[in-house]
Amino acid sequence: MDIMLLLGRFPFLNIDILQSRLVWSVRLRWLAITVFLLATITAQNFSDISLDFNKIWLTLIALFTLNVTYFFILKFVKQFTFAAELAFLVIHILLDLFILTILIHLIGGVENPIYLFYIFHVVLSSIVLPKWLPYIISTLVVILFGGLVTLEYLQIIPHICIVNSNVHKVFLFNGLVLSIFTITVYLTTYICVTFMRIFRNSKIEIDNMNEKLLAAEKQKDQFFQYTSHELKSPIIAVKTLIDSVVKNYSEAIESKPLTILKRASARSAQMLDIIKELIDLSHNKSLIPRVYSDKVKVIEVLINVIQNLLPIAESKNIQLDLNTDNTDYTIVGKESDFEKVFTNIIENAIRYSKDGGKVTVLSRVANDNNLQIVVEDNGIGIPKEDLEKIFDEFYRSKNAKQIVNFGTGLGLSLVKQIIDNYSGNISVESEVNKGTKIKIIFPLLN
Amino acid sequence: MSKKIIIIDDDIDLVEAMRMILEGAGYDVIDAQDGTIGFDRILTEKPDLVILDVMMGTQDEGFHVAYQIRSNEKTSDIPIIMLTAVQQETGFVFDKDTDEDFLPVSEFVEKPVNPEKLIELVKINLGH
Repeated sequence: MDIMLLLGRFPFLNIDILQSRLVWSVRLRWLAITVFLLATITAQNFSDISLDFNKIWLTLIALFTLNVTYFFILKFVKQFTFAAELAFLVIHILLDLFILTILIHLIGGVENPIYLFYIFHVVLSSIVLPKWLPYIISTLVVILFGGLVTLEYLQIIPHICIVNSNVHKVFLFNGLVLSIFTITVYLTTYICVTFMRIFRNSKIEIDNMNEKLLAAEKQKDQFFQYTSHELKSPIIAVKTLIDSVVKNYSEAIESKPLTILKRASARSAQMLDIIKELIDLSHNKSLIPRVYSDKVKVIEVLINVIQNLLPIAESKNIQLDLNTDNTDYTIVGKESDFEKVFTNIIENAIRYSKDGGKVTVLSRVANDNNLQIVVEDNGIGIPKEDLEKIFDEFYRSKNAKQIVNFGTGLGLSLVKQIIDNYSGNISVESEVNKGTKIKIIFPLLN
Repeated sequence: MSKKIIIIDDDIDLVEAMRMILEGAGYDVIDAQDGTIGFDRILTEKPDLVILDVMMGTQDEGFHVAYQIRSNEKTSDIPIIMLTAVQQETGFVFDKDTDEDFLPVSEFVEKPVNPEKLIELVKINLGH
């Protein structure tokens, strides 16, 4: 329970973040080892500083061995518990601090400003570790470095000079360095911890808001679903009643009222279409994250859609062609989404083409990572002033209405919404009476 | 003797509309407005075909009735035509090919059903 409570209050503290910090710290350590290695070689060969290089090498080997161990632990132990991961990170930090202290001792103690490197661990622990743990680490840093400097000052352990200044024997100098160092360590901890607190609080707030938003969204979705069902039932009954009368009594009814009944049936069909597309649109606009696992063979869907639309094209004497280079591309998603996009776009191209016109569908992959589908017709075109509005809900351009009087004005909004959901793009070029070219791009993720 | 069809649907207007179509095509039509009554009528009247709405009272009442029909040996071989509303989201997948194993419904038809289509489906499922 303690851990769950901890995780709730420290939103950035989770197993993934710890894991990524661990990997990161192993990498940084490789870098540190390399730099130390080069520095040691340089010092050994190109300077007259006399250091106990054997011990330095030994320390570096110890650090190297440790990092190799970390590396393999991370590589082969896949299932860490949160507590184990946290303990692992704390051990990392502690061992690093000890090794750094030994190194500082070996390369000049208080004379060598390399003690600034302690700050890295102070910052790391302040960011990652929960509660009062950062202050414990910082206190340990102060004790380690303070102890080292004091022991060298009191000559309990030997001091290794890198410049013959003998500053380590000067009380005031040691005191000054330690005071400034202590203040720096605690102030850094305080700043990082405080900042992280603000950061964590705002994350908690965002998470809460997000949760509420998703709940509200879900409620809206359910309400919409319920409402649409309630709207659908009566209109389905109306249409079925009209159709059954038309079917059974068509001989008993005069031709004029019969035509009117048929028109009523067509209008109720239109209303059903609108409800259907509204539901679709609402689903696709939903903020609730979609989780897909199916790999959709997009070009196969495209071919099927074209085959289904061929009879309509033929009835208008329109030539419908497909040019495609390959059929193997897959996109993770829902097949019906792609079906809706292709059907809507190609159906529109056919619908707004003149008799004897031509609709060409072209699919190709560009830059290895984009699937482009271009649908081109030589139909009525879209006036310039309407171009930017065609993806708006319920919008139908004037010349479209003149030619085909049915249509919900929702098809293209749905298309756009679906393409947006797949991080794709749709663009339109059109000229009145010359034709329209619609270009759809879906990113292909490997 | 003409074949007997039972329509189980809680929308009385829809029942009357389908009755008109089916009687016009020469079938005897009986009906029920909910699943329980519907199943009782199936047991007593032994219809040749069942037209069943998925969503009555509850979201999936129709499915329960279908299971009942299939698991009772007196009724298990009566063909069932199941009516679904447009884009119904009930958590069930309306795919005849994949659902047949555990839900042997003869047909899924989306409402509103076109009269010609209804008659055609009934004919096919009655085996003529």
